[in-house]
Amino acid sequence: MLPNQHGVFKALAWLQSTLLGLGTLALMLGLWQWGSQKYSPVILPAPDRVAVVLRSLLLERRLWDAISATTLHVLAGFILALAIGGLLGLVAGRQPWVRPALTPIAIALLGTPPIAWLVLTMVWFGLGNANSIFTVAVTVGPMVFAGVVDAVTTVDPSLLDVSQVYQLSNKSRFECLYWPHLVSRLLPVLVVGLGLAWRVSIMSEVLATPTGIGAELNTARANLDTAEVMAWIVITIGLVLDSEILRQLQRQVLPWQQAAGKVG
Amino acid sequence: MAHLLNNIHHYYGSRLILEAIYLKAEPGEIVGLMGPSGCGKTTLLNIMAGLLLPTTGAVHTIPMGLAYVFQEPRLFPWYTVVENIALGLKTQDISRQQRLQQAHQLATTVGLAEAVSLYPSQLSGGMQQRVNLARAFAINPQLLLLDEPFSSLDMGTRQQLQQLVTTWIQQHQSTAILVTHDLAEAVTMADRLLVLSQSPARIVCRWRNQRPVDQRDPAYIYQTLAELQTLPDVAASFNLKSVSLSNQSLKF
Repeated sequence: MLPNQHGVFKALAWLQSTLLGLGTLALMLGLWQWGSQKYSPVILPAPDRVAVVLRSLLLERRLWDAISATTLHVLAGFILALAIGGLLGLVAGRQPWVRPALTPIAIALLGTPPIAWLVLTMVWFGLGNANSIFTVAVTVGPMVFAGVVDAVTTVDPSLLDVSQVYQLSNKSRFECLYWPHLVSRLLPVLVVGLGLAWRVSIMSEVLATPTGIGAELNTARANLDTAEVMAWIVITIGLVLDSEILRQLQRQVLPWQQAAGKVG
Repeated sequence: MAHLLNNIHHYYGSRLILEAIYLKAEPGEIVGLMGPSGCGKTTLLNIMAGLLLPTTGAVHTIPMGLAYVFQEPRLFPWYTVVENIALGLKTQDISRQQRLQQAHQLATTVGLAEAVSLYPSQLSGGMQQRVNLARAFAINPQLLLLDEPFSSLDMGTRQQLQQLVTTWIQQHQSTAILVTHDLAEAVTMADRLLVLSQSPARIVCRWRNQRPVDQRDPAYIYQTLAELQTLPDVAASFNLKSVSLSNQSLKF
C-alpha cells in the first residue's frame, strides 16, 4: 500500500467513526426532544430550555465556586489516596510478609460501594467537606495500593539482570528501569482513579456536603428545577471528559504502549 | 588472558550442577560451549557475568568491560532502538548526545539504520536480537558472553549475525564465550570448543578448530561436524547413536 493510500484510508476511518459518534449524539438529542414533548418540563425539560439555563450558569460566579469546591475535594481526597495507598503499596510490594496482611483489607475496601462509606461519614463527620474528601480517599486509595503493589512486584527480573551486567548505577537503574516501569503501571490506574474521584465526590456532595457541584445539583432538585439539574449534569460530563484529556496525556507519556505494527 | 574460571563447583540446593570447571580464553578468541539441554551452560555464563555466585571456585575477571547477549533480547520496552543500544554507555562519562550518536552508528553497523526510532514491540525477533548485539558492542567489552543468541532466528539472519560477531571479535580483539546447541554454528564461529557432559556438567571434550574463521567453508564445516560426532565424549554427551565414518559416508 502506498503511503498516500494509507493516509486516505486512515482519514476515511476517522471520518466514519466521527460521523457515527455525531450520529448517535444527534439521535439521542432527537429522542430527548421527542420525550420532552411527551412529558412535563419537571420530568424532562426540552434541550433548548436546558441550553438556556446552561448558558446563564456559565456566566454565574456560583458555577466556578462549585467547580472549585469539587476540585478541592477531589484533589485533597486523591492526594490522600496517593499518599496512604502509595506508601502502603510500596511497603507491601517490597516486604512480602506485609502483603497477605494488607491485601484482604484492600479487597474489602475495593468491594465496598462508595455510597456505603457516605452513610458512615455522615454519622462520623456530619455534613461538611470531610465527607467528600474521605469518601474519595477511601474509594481511590485501595486502587492506588493495588497498582503500586503490582508495579513493585512486576519489575522484570530479566531487565534487572541487564542493568546489573551493564553496571548501571542506582540512579541510572531508577531512571532506566524502576521509574518508567512504575509510570507505565501506575498512570493508567491514576487516570481511572481520577475519573472515579470526580464521580464519587459529586455523589457525596449531593447528600452530605454543602459545597460543590453535587450540592448545586441537590439544590436544583429541591427546587424542582430539572432544567438546572440537567445543565449541571452537562457541566459534570464536560469536566469528567478531562479524564479523556488525561488518557491523551497517557498516550504521550507512554508512547511505546501505543506503538503498533511490527516491521521486518 | 581476558577471563578465567578456576575449579568451579555449583549446587542448586543439594544437586551438583557444575563440577570442576576450568575455563581460559585469549583475546580475539571465540570459545564455544556446548552440552545437552539443562546441563548448566547458562548457569556458567551467569557465573561469569557476576549474576550468580558459584558455590565454590574462583571467577577471575579483569574489569575491562563485560557484555552479555542473552538468549532473549531483554530490551527495555520504553526505549527506542537507539536508546536501548546506548544503555550501557550511561556508565561512561560522555554526554547523552554522544551516547546517542555512537548508538546511531552501531545501529547502522547491525543493519538497523531505518529502525532507530522504533520501539521493541515494533521489531521482529531478528531485529530485536540485532539491538541486543549492538547494545553489547556499544561498551566495547573485553569479554562478550553469548547465550544461544541466534537460536530463534531464520538461517539467513543467523548467518548475518554470526558474521557480525566474528568480524567484531577479530577487529576488537575481544574474547567471546558462545553457548550454542548448534554444532555447525560452533564449528563456524568458535576457535575452541568445550563440550559439557550431562548433569553434573564437567568438561568432557576440548577441541580446537583447525582453520581460522575466514577459511571455514561449508565443506570444512560439514566434514568437521561429522568428525566431531564420532568422538565418544561428544556422542555420549548428546546421547547420539554411534556413528562411524567409512569412505566419506555416515552409518547409523
